[in-house]
Amino acid sequence: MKRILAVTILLALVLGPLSLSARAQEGDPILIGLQGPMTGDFAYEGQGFEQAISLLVDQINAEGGLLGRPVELVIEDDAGDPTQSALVADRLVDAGVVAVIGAYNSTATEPASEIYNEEGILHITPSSTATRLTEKGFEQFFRVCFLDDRQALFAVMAMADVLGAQKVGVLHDNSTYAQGLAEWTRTYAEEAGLEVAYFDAINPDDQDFTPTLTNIGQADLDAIYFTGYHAQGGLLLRQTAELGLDIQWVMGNASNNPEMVEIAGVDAAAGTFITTEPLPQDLEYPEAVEFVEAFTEAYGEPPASVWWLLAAEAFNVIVHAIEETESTDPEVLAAYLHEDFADYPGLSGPIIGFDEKGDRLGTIHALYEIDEEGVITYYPEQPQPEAEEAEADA
Amino acid sequence: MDQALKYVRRPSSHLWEIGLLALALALPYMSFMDRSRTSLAVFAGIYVMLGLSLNVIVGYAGLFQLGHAAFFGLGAYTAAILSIDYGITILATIPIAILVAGGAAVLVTKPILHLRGDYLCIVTIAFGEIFRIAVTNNVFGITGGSNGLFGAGRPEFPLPWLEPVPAIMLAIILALHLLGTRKSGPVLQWGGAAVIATAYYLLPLGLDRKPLFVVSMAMGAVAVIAGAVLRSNRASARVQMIVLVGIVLAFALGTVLGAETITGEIAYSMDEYFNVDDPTTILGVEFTPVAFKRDARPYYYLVLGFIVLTVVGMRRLQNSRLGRAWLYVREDQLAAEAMGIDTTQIKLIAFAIGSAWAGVAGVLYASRFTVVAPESFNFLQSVIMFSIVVLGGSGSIPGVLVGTLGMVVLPELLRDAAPTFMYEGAGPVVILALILGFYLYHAQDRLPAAVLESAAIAAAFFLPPLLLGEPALYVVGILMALVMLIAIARLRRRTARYLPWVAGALAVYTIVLLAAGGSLGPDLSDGVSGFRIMDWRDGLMGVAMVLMMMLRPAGLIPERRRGIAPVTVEQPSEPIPTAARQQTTV
Amino acid sequence: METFLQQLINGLTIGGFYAVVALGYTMVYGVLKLINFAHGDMFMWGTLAGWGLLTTVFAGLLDLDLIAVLIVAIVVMAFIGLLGMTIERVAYRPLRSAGRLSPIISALGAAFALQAVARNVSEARWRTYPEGLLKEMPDLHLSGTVGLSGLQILMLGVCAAVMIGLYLFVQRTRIGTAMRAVSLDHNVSRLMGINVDRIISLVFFIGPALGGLAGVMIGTYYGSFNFTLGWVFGLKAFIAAILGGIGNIPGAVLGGFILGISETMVVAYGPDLGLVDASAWKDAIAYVLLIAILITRPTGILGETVAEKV
Repeated sequence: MKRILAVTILLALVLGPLSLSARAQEGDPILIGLQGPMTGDFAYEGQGFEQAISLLVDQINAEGGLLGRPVELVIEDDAGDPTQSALVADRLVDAGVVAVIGAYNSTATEPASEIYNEEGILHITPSSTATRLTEKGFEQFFRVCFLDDRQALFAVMAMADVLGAQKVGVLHDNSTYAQGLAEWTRTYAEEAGLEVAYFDAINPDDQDFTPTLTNIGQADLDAIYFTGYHAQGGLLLRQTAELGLDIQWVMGNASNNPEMVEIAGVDAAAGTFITTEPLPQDLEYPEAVEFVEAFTEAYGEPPASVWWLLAAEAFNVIVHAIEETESTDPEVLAAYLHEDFADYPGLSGPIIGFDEKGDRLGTIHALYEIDEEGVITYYPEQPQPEAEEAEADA
Repeated sequence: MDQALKYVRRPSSHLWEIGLLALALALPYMSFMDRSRTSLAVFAGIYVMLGLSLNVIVGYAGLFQLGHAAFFGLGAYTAAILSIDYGITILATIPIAILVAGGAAVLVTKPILHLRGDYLCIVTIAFGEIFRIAVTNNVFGITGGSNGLFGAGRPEFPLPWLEPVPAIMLAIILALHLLGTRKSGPVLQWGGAAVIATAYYLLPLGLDRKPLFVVSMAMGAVAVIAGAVLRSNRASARVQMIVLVGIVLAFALGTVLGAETITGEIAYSMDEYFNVDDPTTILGVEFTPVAFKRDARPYYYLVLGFIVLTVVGMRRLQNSRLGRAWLYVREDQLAAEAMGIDTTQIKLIAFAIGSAWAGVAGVLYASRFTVVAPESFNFLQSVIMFSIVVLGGSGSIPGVLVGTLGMVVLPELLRDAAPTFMYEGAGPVVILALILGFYLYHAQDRLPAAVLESAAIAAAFFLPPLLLGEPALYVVGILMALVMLIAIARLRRRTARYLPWVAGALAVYTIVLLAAGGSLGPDLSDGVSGFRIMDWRDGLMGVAMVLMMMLRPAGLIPERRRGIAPVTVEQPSEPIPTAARQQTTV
Repeated sequence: METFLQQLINGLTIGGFYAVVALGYTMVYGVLKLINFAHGDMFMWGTLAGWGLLTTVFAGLLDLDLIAVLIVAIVVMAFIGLLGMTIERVAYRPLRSAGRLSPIISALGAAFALQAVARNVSEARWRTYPEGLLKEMPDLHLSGTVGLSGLQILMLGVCAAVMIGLYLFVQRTRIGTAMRAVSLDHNVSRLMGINVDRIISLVFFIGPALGGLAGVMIGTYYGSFNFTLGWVFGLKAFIAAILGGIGNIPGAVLGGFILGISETMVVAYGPDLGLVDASAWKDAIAYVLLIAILITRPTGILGETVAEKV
């Protein structure tokens, strides 16, 4: 008796919830998927993706939709974990999305990209910069961010040309992104004849970096490039000031976030340099300015992370492609992006186009400085990358 | 008397298991199993294997292990490295993964086995973390750092009917059959094996239609299962043979009659699920490699096969000499030592077997997800595995299945869930069935009480929204049902005369809601619109873990206690709580 | 030498925080033989609650920052202490007779729930304490560039006061004696007229309250935190408690300082000894240290060797 009951319970447990929420497969709206870390350590970024994109979705729907159809955003949480990423990718495929934006970190993007590739879904990542992702020949995979090496080159030039540094250090946080950027920076710095006197990683889970900072202080560097994320960046700056050390920090674009100044405190942050894609307010494109205004109005503060902008960018690229081709066939869209898409006024600067691998062409990095008021401002003196850039491409 | 009888092992029929297996076999083809749910089933299957392997350590031997993810990870990394760097086909890395994970377990646990329970727990956490840090830091330059490793191979196997594999298949079928026929006569053993093997080869060879091998496999499986059912029901040898032959004939007939459609569908599914490569020659023998595609169904059956193998293995292990030794060590280490059991050795074996099998799960994981990254093997994963074992009932195999449903499947299904979903469609019926079932199971033959209690909880659950038609009150309903669940559990523990309390509480609650409903609604609905279960999945899981332990401290399906001989159970002079009663040692 | 001194100070500060959090683990283990996995998250709630109070209710009081922080610390201690008692009542007490596996699951469940609440409350962001909190304290210069900031002195002072206070409380007062009795044997304590449940409740008030205090201290000192703080920092503090011998108050303190200083020294001198990426490996080294100590001294450095009960 009890056994049969147990079986019943078991069955009800499995079958009940499963049969409940059968999703509609075919529907009027154009479905666009967003996969990102809504929980977990990167929850902050994923939720920013969602804010940025749903703002644009609301705008489009208010103006009558896309090709006369409303746009609907399907949001899935991968927690930045490759396993969950594969699971939610299957869910997005089941939901019948045309295109997917995501994931945040390369590790989560990888398994998902395989699934979208097999299912023929347009896939644009706003923030995964691991080189391997575009080396698999996936026709429908693109990224709107730049590869690690472009920024590394820019950072080396900024340190050498603008700051006049000879002896530099590189610090990363062992995350996929930061480590890649740090290694490229070391390579280019050595090529450029700089002395890389310090190269180490911090543990991003830590709260206290004073031992590492004391070491950096001992190394007597002209400048040190930190490639990790803004939360640790802020703590590093704050503790540098507390230890009374004189370190010239240059931060990568993952630290381009007003919150870093907030964490560090204005005094500690002032004078720090940041290499990043230009901030929206420094772009003359009306789209960018409009977006930041709309975002500020909707959420009470401007977009805090450059990745949020790039997520919105990815969405705009998809919308643009759908409008231009008047199609929702991912293959058509991908072909358009590969061949005809060019000189699009993006939120993070003009998009020249995508190369055959799906990587964004060109580079648009700029050097910023945190001023005395703690505002991240465009630095008047910029390194001139053209010559070396061509070399790097060749 | 009743108490004492509980400790005597009863011979069990395999109906339960076979029904479950049949259900599992059919599952991927059920209508509600879309792509993502099949995928989820594969994922859950891997966790079932992990739970079963951890069960050896935690359940059988009674040791703490909160670093199991490390051995899972060792298997996965071993498979990925061998597959990516050395091009070894991924399933062939299983023996190596077993050696690596099991060997590592022996190496690291040997020095620490003398530690007392909690200290052992800490040290295993430490090992798990060391593993994670090591692979994040790209130890030996082979683990790919925080990126992990990309591009592990999918399972490949040679197409069986073109190659010398038949002999191996025959041996496996034979072995499986022998395993189940210990008590039957030799005629039946050999005869049955021959029938099944013939059945297996008959169709593709006789009809010269290659895709029919799938049908053969199905037939072989059906024949084996049928044989097991008959044996467990003590059917005579003659009946068994007749049924086996009948199955083969039925299949043959069905194939001949429905040949077009069957072969058509199978040829289609071959393309859909597998990549068939050009034949290669190895040692002068021609192999045709067949590789899995991403689709989850082949994986599902692969993992299911491994689970069945694991369950059979674990059950035999549990009843073996070794299993009994673990039981002694778990229940009373000093006594076990006094009886001449080498406790250190025994514990070490438990760690080695459990970890090695976790390594196998790791290989399956690597082959399924093709990406192996440090985050998948962190402390949280160890916690989930540990919870699977303990929530389900430490030491119990069905418990692991239920634990996996609770810890892995439910949180994933919750992605869809909104507070309203339980009130729509078949939801109410399912929830009622669940509550009722749970209570009947729990109430130990006090049927009327169980029905009444269930009704009270269900009323708490459904009344507010149904009475007031206010969607926001769904959340209140869920909360109230939870409160009721706890209240009843506590009341039952204190006194038998709980019914007035329950009824009274229900009445008060309904009246309060009716009175306050009008003004309560709008306030809540604002809160509800911003409420997404997705954001609270881990929190709900946490609450559920606490609740489960409060209600059933020994797990959902506790291991049946196995005594060496029936013993008299002391009748305590005062009623003791259920929790304590379950702990009474033999 | 200067570098060494500076690194020693760095290590002492980190170790001090570990020690205060470790006290909570060790007290609970002492009386209940239960690893309170939720302690780390309760401590994180302390940081969270401190942030909530300082940025809203006490935002106007920031001119008198020492007083504001003091009041906030007391309020947070009371709140986290009550939270601890509630969790004990709900999640642990019903399981006291249920073997050793169940309470671990229950504790982990409570930790998950606490963390989920904190994540949603903080919107998964890094949150910052008001800027310049307690910055106006006199620094102490030892020699050259080596010195302690005023904040560091205050933090170390509070850590020391808490540890000594708690030690005296447990050793000298009647209630402290009762606690020690309960940690030895529940049943005998009951026979001696001690209300065991009440003592356990009290321990679950004091331990988490100290965690809450440490939370506010960490928030003030480092200026920012996020919801994963409890998990990460808690695990470390827990290791400190085990290192010193869990259940033993001086042991927790000793463990905290050993862990903090050894971590710092690994980062500081690891590269010189040929250990590249020492910062990234330092946690692993802490765990290796733990295992090494447990192998040689199975109950931690100051832990007593207790005969297994038959």
